[in-house]
Amino acid sequence: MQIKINNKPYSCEDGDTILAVCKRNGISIPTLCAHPDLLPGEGVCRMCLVETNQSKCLVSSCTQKACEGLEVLTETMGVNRARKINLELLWADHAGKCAGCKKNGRCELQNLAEAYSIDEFKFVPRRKELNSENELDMLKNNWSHTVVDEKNPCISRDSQYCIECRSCVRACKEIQTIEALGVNYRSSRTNVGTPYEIPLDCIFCGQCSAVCPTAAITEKDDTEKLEKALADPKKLVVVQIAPSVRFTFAEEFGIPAGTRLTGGQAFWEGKMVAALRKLGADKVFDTTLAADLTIVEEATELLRRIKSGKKGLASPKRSEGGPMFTSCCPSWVLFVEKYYPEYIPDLSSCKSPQQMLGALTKTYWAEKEKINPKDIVSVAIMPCTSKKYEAERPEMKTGEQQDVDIVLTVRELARLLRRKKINPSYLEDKKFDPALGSATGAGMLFAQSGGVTEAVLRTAVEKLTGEELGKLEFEVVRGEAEYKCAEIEINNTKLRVAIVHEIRNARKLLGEIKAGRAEYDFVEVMACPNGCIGGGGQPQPANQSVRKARIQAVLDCDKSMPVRKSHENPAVKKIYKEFLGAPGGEKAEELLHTKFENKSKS
Amino acid sequence: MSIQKILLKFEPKPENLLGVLKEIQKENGYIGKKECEGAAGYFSLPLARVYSTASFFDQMKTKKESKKIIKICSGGPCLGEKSMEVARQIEMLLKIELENDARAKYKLELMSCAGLCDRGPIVMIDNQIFEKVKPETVDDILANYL
Amino acid sequence: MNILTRSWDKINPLDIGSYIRQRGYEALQKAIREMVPADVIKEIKISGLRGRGGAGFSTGEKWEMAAGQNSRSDLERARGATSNGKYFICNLDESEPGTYKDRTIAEKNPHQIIEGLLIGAYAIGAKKAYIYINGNYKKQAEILRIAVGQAREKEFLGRGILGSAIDIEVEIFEGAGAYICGEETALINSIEGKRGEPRLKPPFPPVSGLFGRPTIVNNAETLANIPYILRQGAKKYSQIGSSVSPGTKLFILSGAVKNKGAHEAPLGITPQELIFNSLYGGGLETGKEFWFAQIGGASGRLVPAGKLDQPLTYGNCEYPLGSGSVLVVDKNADLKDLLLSWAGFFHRESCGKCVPCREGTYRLWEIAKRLKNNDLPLTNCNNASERDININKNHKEGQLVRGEREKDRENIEDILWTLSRTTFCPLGKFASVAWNDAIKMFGKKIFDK
Repeated sequence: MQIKINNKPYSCEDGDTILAVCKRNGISIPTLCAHPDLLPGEGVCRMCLVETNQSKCLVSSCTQKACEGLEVLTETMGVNRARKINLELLWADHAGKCAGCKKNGRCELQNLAEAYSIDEFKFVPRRKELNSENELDMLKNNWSHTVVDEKNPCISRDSQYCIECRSCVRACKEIQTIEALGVNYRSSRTNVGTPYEIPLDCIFCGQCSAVCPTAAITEKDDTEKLEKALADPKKLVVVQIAPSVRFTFAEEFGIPAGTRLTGGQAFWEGKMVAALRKLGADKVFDTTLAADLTIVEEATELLRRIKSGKKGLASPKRSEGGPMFTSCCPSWVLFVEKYYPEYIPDLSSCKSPQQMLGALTKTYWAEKEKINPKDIVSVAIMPCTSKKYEAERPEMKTGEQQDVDIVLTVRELARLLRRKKINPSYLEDKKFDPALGSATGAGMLFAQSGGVTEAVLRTAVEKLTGEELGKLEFEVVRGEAEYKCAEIEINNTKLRVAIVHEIRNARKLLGEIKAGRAEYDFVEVMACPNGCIGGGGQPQPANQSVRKARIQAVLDCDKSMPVRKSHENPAVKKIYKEFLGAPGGEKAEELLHTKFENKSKS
Repeated sequence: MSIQKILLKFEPKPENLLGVLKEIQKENGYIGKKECEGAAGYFSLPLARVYSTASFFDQMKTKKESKKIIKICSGGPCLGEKSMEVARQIEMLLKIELENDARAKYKLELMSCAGLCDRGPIVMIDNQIFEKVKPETVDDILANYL
Repeated sequence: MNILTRSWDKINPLDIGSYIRQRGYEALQKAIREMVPADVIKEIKISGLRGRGGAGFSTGEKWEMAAGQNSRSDLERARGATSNGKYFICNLDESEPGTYKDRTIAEKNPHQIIEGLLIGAYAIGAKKAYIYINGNYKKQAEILRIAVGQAREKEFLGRGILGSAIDIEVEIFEGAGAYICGEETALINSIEGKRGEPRLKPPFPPVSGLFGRPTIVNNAETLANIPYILRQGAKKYSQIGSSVSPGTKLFILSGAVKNKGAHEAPLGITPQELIFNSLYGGGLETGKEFWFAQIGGASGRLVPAGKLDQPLTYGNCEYPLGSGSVLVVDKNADLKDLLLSWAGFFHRESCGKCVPCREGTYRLWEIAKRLKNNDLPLTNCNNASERDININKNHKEGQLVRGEREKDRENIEDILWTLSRTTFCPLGKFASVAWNDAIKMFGKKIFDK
């Protein structure tokens, strides 16, 4: 089928929206509620309006399907007037607030306001947090109440910036099936928020903050905590960088997703280390090392389960035990604890790489360097808002000390660097501190959904067969499919694995297991789209093609690494030899494993 | 009636949700968090979804209202019958201001048409409707019902 | 010519017998015993009946769309579906200001609606029908409930209607106070226990409505016409009223007119006749002088004295008749009260879904309040504080600064422009109609004081 846009013919498929055709052909149309990761919306922002030959009114291009004979004009006087007026109506509560806003310069509303030269103050703002008695008089002038929710460690909400685009509500419902947020009340009192304004009660995956066009939902800002630690001369600031972060960080500084140096080295790994050193970090370690440790521990745990006869475990009879679920995604863990507590025993007892590295820093490394662990501030740069919550869990302690003290998301670190006028582009690459700084390709794979499984297989298969693997790539567990399963034959037994990302798929998988329709031995779950590479703390905007580019960078990086199996990481071997003893041993158990708790309400 | 009793009067089918919420409103005066959680559990719906429905409609409240609410119809026909004069009279009697509830025991609001235009002006106190209210008769109504 | 109000004086709404004696349920019997559903739809199409809710869509065509949809599969039924897959809903969520025609029918002759509803459900093959009634109409809901009970006893509804194999269940569903639920998809959402927000169309309800199944939503007054059409024949009905929209209509007269209340008149009648003919309005109340009339409730246009001769039909006419209420405004009325009334109404009733309606109706209302109180815009500053409020007070007492009011006028024009063209559903457009007319007709009066 062909339609005409701005008098030029374009071909399109049945079911295409005008917006989709425009996007494909590079015709720009402003949107505030049409996030590509979400199901087709209902066109609530009325920004993507266009003129057609089929309607007297302007139509929203994100909902209008292409049809035979359709002619579209995207930039008429009327279209621009409509967009401008609608923007002005939204701008009232943003005018004059940009300079102090977290999202300054990265706000979709601000960008549009600039593009359409919106008058700063056309309408009086009407949203304000009412604190004092005196302000009650404001009610007369229709100040509506604003909700500020900082009562969780991960996500901040400030409804004065909310433009009711509903993207967060849809993300929470469609991607994660949690529905912690809803659209409440009506007319000008319509607000997006939690029922009864209760503090956010969810799995803290942060996908709401990843799709929010403004600063209404953001990652909780911990940059000041880090600055304070850096400024304290008595503290030793030790930073770790998650595998996925190095593949995305450059996007915050304007470099397209997936760009990398020749030779496949994870782009900006060296620049990140350099930037953190410049910021004042005393040591920079690599979380990937702990990812390798996780693999060794997790593979040991899996083999132990298989040998103890709990094989073919995923039986509908719960007494016989279920599959072993990964536990490195804190949102997934929290999901099990809150909604499916009966599966807690099946979660791997391994701590996540972040926590393992934190624990090693404050024990192994502190002992070696003869440093009082109390003087160490352990900082993690993560793709994830939920990691902030994980770091604060009471279980995540070694002695008196939390394993990790401060967690910053990619967006926060970038914000801090921009504030400090440090642009990593101009810095020379630096290397991780060698004590806890070596990585393998397997560890890098953690960055994307399916990676943990592939890394575990590389280790588990070798341990089971006692032979060296010929081909390292397990293509069956790769790819962007949302629900992958595979059977891997080892010594005449079949290891049945499943990999899902996004909680909606995890829910589906649990349903299948519960109903006895599926049986697995090992299940990897990541809460965010495509795993950490699509994490809630990653640079905006993220969408399928951005994540695809990021994944390719991860796979290429794995290929280029000299060591590609976790158990062969020389630093890992050294740590076991010098400190931990054997994988799954007593010391490892104490430092690298944890327990989970039933957090369900019933 | 307890929330459980109300719930058991209905089958947990989506088309009964509004009826349940209205019944809770009637019995309880408002739909609090506890009641909302009860309904959400009964219908196997997320709390956020039940709350977003409950907060949408005029006839349900999600907060306990401590003030007496007086509503006066502002539709064209009631205006023609001098509903604004009635409003002025109420403002004077209770020393309050229309649509401004800062620091007052009473709240005077405008309401949407209740379809009783042939009997206007309409005044509603809590959920009771008064028809053909005149500035002269509003004193009596207030004295009796507040 | 009486169709709807025929024999109201002889009917006791609480006694089905009195309705039957006036040839009540004859049409239903005829439909079920002598006609197949396709015949019924054909008859309604020939009659030319159009929806009385305001949009004026052809009722027969609407029914035909739903009738053509397949019934729910056996598999779905096995999974506990409540109906064979189609729904018929009578829309009695009347809440347009100044409109109470459906309420009047429900309290005078409830069976007239129920009979129409049953015929419609039969025609499209629905086994479940709802009467969605405005939550304020408690008494009328009770009357309808009693009527449904009596009709069930007489086997006009329920299982095996009139000894046939046809089952139609009727349920009274009471709304909870939201004007927007008169919009058919919002109404459907609210039955489903969701927020009463309009849905994206297409798909239209006859294809995918309540619980995703084919659904017809018809206004109560539309349904009240059905028994007459089947009894007297579509041909006869189509000759009543105007050729583009046959039949009669219940008009509600209010305001400064002498005979207020419900009046049945053939479609195509002019406002002039409605207001001044002694059969209907009988002219203005003594001592009052006609200024303008508003046709169709708060969302209706304003008709000046010179334009009262335009016939009211559901065809393409300058002054759409909407819900059919006529508010007569006399020269002593305060226009600013009316402006505030319209703006306040649509602001309260906006569902909050799309930006222009949610924010636009709010800003319009804000400005309307200022116009009413003769206040000026708050100084445009981010933190409007007490200082600003004082400045505003000073302005009010002292000289009005020209240009400030100009700003309000510009903003109003912008808001009305976007409301009328860019909103998700027609509510935005409705909110702009009367304001647009008022500004065109009386702009000077509004802004120059």
